[in-house]
Formats: sequence, C-alpha cells, structure tokens
Amino acid sequence: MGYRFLEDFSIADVVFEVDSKTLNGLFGYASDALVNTLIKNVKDIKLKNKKSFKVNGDSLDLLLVEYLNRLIFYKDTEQLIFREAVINVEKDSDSWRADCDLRGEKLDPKRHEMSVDVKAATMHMLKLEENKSGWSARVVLDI
Amino acid sequence: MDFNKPKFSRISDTIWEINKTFKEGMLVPARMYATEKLLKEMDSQVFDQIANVASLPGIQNYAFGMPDAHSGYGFPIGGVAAFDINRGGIISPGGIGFDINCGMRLVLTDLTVDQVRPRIKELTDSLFKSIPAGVGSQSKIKLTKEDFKEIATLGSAWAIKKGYGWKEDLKVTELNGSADWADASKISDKAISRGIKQMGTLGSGNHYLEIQYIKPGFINDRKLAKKWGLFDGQIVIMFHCGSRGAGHQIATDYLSSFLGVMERKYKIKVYDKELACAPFDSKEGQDYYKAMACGVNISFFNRQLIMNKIRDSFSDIFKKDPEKLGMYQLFDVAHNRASLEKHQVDGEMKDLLVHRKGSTASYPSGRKEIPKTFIKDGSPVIIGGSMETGSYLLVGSENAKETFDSTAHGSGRTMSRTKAKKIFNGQELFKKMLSNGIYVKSASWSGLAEESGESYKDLEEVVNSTELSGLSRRVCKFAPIGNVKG
Repeated sequence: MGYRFLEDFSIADVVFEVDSKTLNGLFGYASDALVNTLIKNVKDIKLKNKKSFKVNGDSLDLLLVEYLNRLIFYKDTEQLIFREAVINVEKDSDSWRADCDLRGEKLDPKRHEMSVDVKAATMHMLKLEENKSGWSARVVLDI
Repeated sequence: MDFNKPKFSRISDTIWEINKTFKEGMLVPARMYATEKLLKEMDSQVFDQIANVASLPGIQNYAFGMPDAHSGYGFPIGGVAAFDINRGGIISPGGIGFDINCGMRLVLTDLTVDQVRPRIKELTDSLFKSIPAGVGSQSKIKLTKEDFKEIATLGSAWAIKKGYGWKEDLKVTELNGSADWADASKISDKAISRGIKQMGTLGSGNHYLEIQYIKPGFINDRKLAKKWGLFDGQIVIMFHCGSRGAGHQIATDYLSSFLGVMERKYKIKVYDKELACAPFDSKEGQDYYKAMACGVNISFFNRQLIMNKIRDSFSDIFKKDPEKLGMYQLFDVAHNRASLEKHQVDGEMKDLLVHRKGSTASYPSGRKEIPKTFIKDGSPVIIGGSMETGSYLLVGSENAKETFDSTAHGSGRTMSRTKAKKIFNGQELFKKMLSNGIYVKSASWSGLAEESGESYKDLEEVVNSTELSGLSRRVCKFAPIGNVKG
C-alpha cells in the first residue's frame, strides 16, 4: 500500500500508481506522490502550516484530479507543500466531495531537495477503482 | 503499456501514412514526418494519440506528427491539426498545449566564444541568480491584479511600456508580441493568482536558458546567416519557457468547461477527455480563443522579462550597455499555439485554425504571418536540442504547406523522466558536461538527470527529417557552453 512511479508511458511527464485499503488513504498517498515529485526529502517537510478545504467532483477519479490540482494551486500561489493529509471522501448527492485537512510548510530551497515542478494533474489515462484489497488509482502529472 | 502499432504506407523516405482504418472514428488519415530510424524509435502511444486527433470534427487533410513527436496527453507532442472554422471545425485546449505559447527566444550578441568562455561560470551563475528557476520559483517583480490583466491583454507591449526591453524587440516577435484578440475578462481569478508571482521565471522540466556559440562549420546558409546577424564564433542566448501556471490554469478551466458541453450540447465524442473541444464558432469556443490569446500574451511578457534580465547580466559582467554588446533579439516563436490562417485545401482557400502542440510555425517567404523583417526569407524556426547536443536555427520552406506550415520544435524525448532519473546521476552528468565544455547551473540534480542528452532523440536526425521532407531548412547550429536549468 502506497505509491510508485511508472517508467513506460507518458514519457515527457510523471506517472504514478497508488494503492490503499481505504479511499481516504488513497487520496493521502496520492498527495505524497505529488509532493515526492516536487522534492526528494518529503520527510523533512515541517508541519508549520495548516490548510483546510473542500473539493468536489462528478466522479471519484475527477475528484482525485481536482484534489491534486488544488495542492498544485497552493504550491504556485502560496509556495505550500504538505506532508500530512487527513481526507474524508463522501458521496454528495450526485457527485463526490472531499474534506481535506493538510499540514506542511512553505518551500525552502535551502532544506528541500528540489526535483521537478508539476504544472497539473491530468485526466490522461486516469484510473481509480475498487478492487479486492481496497482501492487503486493511476495519475499522470504534467511536467 | 501496450498500444497497437499501425501498418504504415510509405509516401516518401520521410512521410509515413496511417490509414483511416487504424482506429474507429478517424475522419482523415494521419501522417508522420520522420526518417525510418526516427519512426521506429517512436513510442507506440504516439500513433494512438495522433489517430485520436484524426477523429476530431472539421479536421482537414491529415493529422500530422512531426519528426520529434512523442506521446503527451490528449494530442501528442509534435502534433499538428488544422480545422475548418466555417464547417464545424473545433478548438481544443489539449491540442494547443497546456503551457500556452511555450516557445523559444534567440538573442544575439557581438561577443565571441573567446571573450565569453573564460567568464562562463560567472555569467551563468549571474543568470541563475537573476532569473528564478525550478520548483515553486517566484517572480522578482511585483504586479497587481490590474497589471496582470493588462499584461494578458497587451503582452510584450506592456513590458516595453514599463521599460523591460526595446521597441525593436516587438518587431521580431511573432504577432509583434501581442495577440490582439485577447480578452482578460475570459480568464479566471485562479489563473491570475497562479501567474502573478511567476512572471520572469523560467520554470522547470525541459525549460532552460543556454549560452551558445557558432562553431566553425556550423553555418549552413552563409548568406541568410549574415543577413540575420550571425557569424562564426558568435555568442548567442537561447531560452525556452512559456506562460507558467497562468496558461496552464486557462487551459484547465476551459477543458473543464468544454467537458460540460461537448457531448450534451454539440454531440462531439472524443477518445480521451484531454481532447475535449468545442466548435470554434460556439460561445465556449470563442471564449477559449480569447482566453488562449491572454495565455499567449502572458508568455510573450514572461520571455520579455527574462530577456531583459539576460541583457542586465551580460551588461554587468562585461561592463558595457546591452546595445553596445549587440544584444538584439533575433526572433521569438511559439510552439504551443492555435493560429487562424488561410490555406488551400483541395483547390479551395479555407479559414483554418491550425493547432500546433510542440510544433513550430514554418512559413515560407511571403506569408502574412511572418514579421516584416523576415518576410522575404521565410520565418525563422528555432529548434532546441537537448542540453548536451546543441540547437538549430532553420527557416521556413515552401513544402511546409503540406503540414499547414508546421515543422518540429525540439529533439523530442525517447525515455521517460522516471527512467532517466534511475539511469543517470545529476552530479555525474554535471561533471561530464563540464569536461565537454558546458557549465550547468541547475536548481535540481534529479531534474538535471531527467534532461540528459540520452533521454532525447538524435537532433541531427530530427533536423534531417525536416529538411529532407522540405518542412524547413538549416541556417546554422549552436553549441552550448553555459546552461541554466530549472
């Protein structure tokens, strides 16, 4: 259970897969994969800032993309990156909603080992499904 | 991941056709422009993606893959398609590229490699300091929301008005640095918030700034090179970047808007959500066209600010005004843009919206899209190679009309970023490049490893393909000696 980066397609971008026993955990691992694309030493992110927000999506896979794109928005506008995510995904009449509480800090080039910037989470080859062991998803990040 | 590989019909040594029967829904065949070697090296997903493009409403003649084509998302990178705007032709954010007006700018100097090489570390470090690059890099100029809206409306002209450049820069920028149909009311607050702190920054990934020179023997067209101010041993600066988060947000906002109406209102079905589109003459299509123009202008402005910083750095190091160093812009050209152009199709002159995603316009002499400076020559085409191999300046040629005046834009990747990072080591690559006479200043060792020369196609093969197929022809080549990487 966790995330791994794939080598064999979308060669100009970064592709990851996540597995989790729970849907909430899946969203948490997905944000870890995003942050680990941005910097190498994720464990060194201090828990100095909090961010709480809600995102909505017509389907679960689009909700995941919306969630990741919100994190990219905070990275671009407030320089925030996150290490801890508490997510609660729920059905909201015809669509899905995620209540998100994240903790992290501002990017610091002196302490964070920068990797590559991410412009967006995309819908390309997007997959999110329930399986025997829980949930899995695949996301392509635009670099 | 496996994708079906098509059977190609060989049209010539550099043109390979994919029949309409390859994938259900294709309205026209697809054509790949490449030598057989390049074609064999292409990832199979690129053919699936170009077939998807061939199924979009209003497409004319063929969906084209350029010699540097590789899979992207939605459209492939190096993909070209033209749509008849008077017969239901569409506009697609994914066909333009999310980094709207990502492009190249080439700046001349009167300096020679012998003058610059001894100071290359000092110069590259100075550029790295003054032009923010890498993850989360932030602008050094403060802009208000109103400023940003004016930038989205006016592009480079706003920069010149504020003293960030010279009037003559505009004359050698596509569209004179300003897409005049831009409407800032069509872009979201989110797009403004993402872009406002990123102007004058290089970005990351394959974005770079290079100090390059013309080695003896590198000039292919001596007459044109002389006319354009190029000479043996000359130092030039080439850089590659785009509209940063603002352009991306504009495209994302409209992709979402198109997904909401595409099937329900316009009965258009696509194979990949990233190909979402709307008829050009619909309200949604027109709104995006005006918003895209804002992205184009934001990108021109970004490159204008960066060039201003380049001039400052050279001036500080060489203790001379940039004018006295001959730091004139040669050209600025997009490789992610849709352009409204007139082209002959089956003997009829049509109004087409040409989508070029990872493809450079390659206009032959006389086309009205070419800035006056170059109209008798054809448009300059800047093809950036990998940071280890050098880059090319070419010129548009007559045969490009086959591809609606389009050619390649770079080397094109052959290896995924994740794989490259496993195989190559940033520090080792730095040392190797240094021993080859290239000093690199990078915001990230792993980012550097991802951009190793071996992750890209053979630049010579790509440029040969464009020349053999008559899409563009060589003017001269440049070799890097200093590189700033995001």
